[in-house]
Amino acid sequence: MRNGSLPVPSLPRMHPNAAHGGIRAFEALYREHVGGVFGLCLRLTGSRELAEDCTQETFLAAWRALPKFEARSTLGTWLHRIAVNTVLARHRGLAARCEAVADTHDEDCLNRHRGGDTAPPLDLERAIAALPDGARHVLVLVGIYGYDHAEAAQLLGLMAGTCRAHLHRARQLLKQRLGLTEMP
Amino acid sequence: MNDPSDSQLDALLARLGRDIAPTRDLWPQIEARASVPQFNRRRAWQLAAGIAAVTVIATIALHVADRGAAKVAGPALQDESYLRASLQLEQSYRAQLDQLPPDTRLQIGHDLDVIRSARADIRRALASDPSNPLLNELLATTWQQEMDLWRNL
Repeated sequence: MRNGSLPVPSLPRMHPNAAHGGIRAFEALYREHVGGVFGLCLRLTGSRELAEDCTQETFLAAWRALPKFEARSTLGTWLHRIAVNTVLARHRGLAARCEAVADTHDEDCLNRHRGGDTAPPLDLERAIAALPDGARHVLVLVGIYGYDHAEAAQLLGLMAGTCRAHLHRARQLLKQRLGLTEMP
Repeated sequence: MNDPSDSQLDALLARLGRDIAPTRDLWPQIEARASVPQFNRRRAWQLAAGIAAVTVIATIALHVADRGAAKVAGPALQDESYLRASLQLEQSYRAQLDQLPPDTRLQIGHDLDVIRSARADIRRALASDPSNPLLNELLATTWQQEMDLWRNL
């Protein structure tokens, strides 16, 4: 994973349970990584409001779990993994709530909960945000954040073949929407 | 990936930055919530663990009570209905599968082989213990995974 190759930023200084670190050390970690985590959450959810919630949840989960962090992965990779799990858990929660509402089309319901702000400034970002969830998740992880299929499949709880199928679909849809499809 | 539109799309994706700053500072809320004492959370976990333990015991008791019923239904009947559903899905999605790139088709074929081989192992185990609830559940899981795989195409 390209982003995961970042070195761990002097972990003892950053560790919140270190004698002189605490919450201020964790704030420094937050400032360093918030752009990466928020960018990932924004692209996975397609919603600024949801992405802000998920970013907060990610850092809270990291704060609680940091004493168990064993530096087997970099902090960036570790935070990304938490962020993906947070987004998927949030999405499952929304889907469950929408299923409970009779006669409501799932996507409509999910879009309402997303806050209807799925309009990032760039055409490409907008096209990505409009992709179906599964296709968008795989495209973001593999196409933008550089995970390989096996890593993305593991993070998303998919089989590798399903992951590839989602990516293929995402790319086809993006090419259509951006007018990149070759004309016959 | 010989299609020039693929390289165009790759170039566009490569230009996207990975970091995006949120429009507002999220730290104050994180700090406030991070400062909540851990005690309550631990108590909640203890309570949840207690409830889970009771649920597990109750479930085991129910399974034991239902063993007789499971013997009547048997895995063969379950298998048959899953097989029908799975074949229907396979027929519906076969066309989509054929449109995927060869390496993706290969990967999906491999995934199917893994699922089906696991199912064959479970069936063998079930032959000597047909009413084993865990094995029956695992068998159902393999069918579910296969149907999910087709649906996800």
